[in-house]
Amino acid sequence: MSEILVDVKNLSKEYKRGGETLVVLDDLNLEIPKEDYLALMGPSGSGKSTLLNLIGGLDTPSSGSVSINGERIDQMNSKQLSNWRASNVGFIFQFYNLLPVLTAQKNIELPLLLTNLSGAQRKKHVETALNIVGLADRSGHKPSELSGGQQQRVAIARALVSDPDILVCDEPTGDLDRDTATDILNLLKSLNEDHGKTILMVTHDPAAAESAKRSLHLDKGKLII
Amino acid sequence: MYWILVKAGVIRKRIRSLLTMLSVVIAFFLYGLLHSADPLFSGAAGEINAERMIIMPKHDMMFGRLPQSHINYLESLEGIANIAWLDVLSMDINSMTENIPIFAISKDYFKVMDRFEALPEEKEAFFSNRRGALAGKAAADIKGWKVGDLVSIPTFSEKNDGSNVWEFVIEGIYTTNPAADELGIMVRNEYVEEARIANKGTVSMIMFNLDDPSKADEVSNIIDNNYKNSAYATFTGNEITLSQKMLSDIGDIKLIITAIISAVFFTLLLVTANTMSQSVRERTSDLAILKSLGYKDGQIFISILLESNFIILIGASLGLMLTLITMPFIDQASGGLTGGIIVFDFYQVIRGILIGVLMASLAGILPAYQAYKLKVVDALAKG
Repeated sequence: MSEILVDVKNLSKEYKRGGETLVVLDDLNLEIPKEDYLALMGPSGSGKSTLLNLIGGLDTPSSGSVSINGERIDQMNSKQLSNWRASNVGFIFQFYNLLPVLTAQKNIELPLLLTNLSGAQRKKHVETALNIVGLADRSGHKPSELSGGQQQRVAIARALVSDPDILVCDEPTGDLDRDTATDILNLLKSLNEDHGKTILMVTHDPAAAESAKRSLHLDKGKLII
Repeated sequence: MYWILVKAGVIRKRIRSLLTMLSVVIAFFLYGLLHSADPLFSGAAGEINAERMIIMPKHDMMFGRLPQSHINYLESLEGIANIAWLDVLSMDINSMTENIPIFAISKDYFKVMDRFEALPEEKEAFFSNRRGALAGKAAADIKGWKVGDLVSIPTFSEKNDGSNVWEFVIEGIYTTNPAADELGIMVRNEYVEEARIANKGTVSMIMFNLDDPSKADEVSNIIDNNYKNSAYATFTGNEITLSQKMLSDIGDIKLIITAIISAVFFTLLLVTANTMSQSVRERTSDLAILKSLGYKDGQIFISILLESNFIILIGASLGLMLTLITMPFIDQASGGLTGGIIVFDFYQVIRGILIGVLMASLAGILPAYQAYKLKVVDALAKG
């Protein structure tokens, strides 16, 4: 068994709405080994995205713990979480979320601006990421000049560029046609198999789930094995 | 790092950013133009200073008269260094460049009003000729007068020969700062007093120096109290006080201008704050993404403030630069009369920039705080 990268223990997340308490995740336990490629499935409102946000350090749990590579991110404050996210996790969203006025190269460079890398080093990293996603010839294009699939590749390159341990993908093919979605899934698979990236992907798409090494289902805040 | 974020924010909606910047340019151009006239409203234009004392008719400074006996009284006071007087023979303030004002001055005028300068030999020639005159440089330039010219000037004052056209010989040219005071012609008071029919034995104003300038208020009070209940009540003060008093008789122009500038800046503040706020609202998902990439709340806060500063400071700099470029044209259009009065200097540029920084910070602070408080999860959920 590989080394555990993500260790979630007794994780609960509740929201207060008016006088009511809404339990989104209920005493959840999950272990994700390094170099795993895990698809999380489940109906809307089952808590998939919430779990993803907690593992990605975008949100904090109501109780329980989240350890990534041995670090308790649930105990970090906002500033510490920002620092942690900058070097340990890469996000890929359904709608790409690229900055519209920046070129592909500048969008990919954004996470590196938080580091001490020189301009030349940053450029080198960006070129490497662009080569991995197969968009070296589109570096000077703005998002509006790229297709949906290409924009998602840029988003993947941006997630990869700081060489994080884990890639967190929220419906990465949800806005793409079948062929383009297949390309993106192949790219994610290659990142997992050839580059050793651990991937956690939330999806509604059974085809996407099939490309992962394993799938888990969530319902009403609990994992269904 | 911040530059790329600021740039991304500014060029996201180019037209809106440009229009906002343009409104800042116009506001600061207006600020520059109105503030450049500050010396005029503070009464301290050019070399006008607080050491020259002047007595004027209290109730009608522009056209009132003072009897020459006031000069005798002044001579009886202790601590008075030099005394001079001046009579305005003719002055149509609506057409001063066409109808050059005539100032009939006494012998010691140049001692008291030492900011007026002329060549010693020209002064000597002036005081040796009863009908001699010293033309202000600006007046001479406008009228084409030169030394030796015989000039005829129609006035409102009738001479004892029945004519109201006065003739003088230009013996020299005088200069001063502010240049607007060069718009006149100085003639001998003795000649005017002797030749005119009306207003004999009166003058328009009396000026003097003090042995001890620190006693200015004390001496002013003594003089004004002495004529308090007289038909020829006086207002005594230094050159600056008198300038201010004359301006305040017209209205509190400085207050009006300050009110206009404040209103312009306040409107600009609201416009810029609204633009920034709208811009941040539109970029909610961009900002959330930046935070998800590891950008800290404080860094996002600073980037929004810098963006607001960028828009306002670029606009302010262009507006102030436009003022500087415009100044020579204004001076040229006025025939050089605005020198020493319309002044836009380095200090005012710095003050403008500081106002810009303050405005940018005020305009940007609320949107920056909105961005600072933005929760990534909520923002992403809203799309």
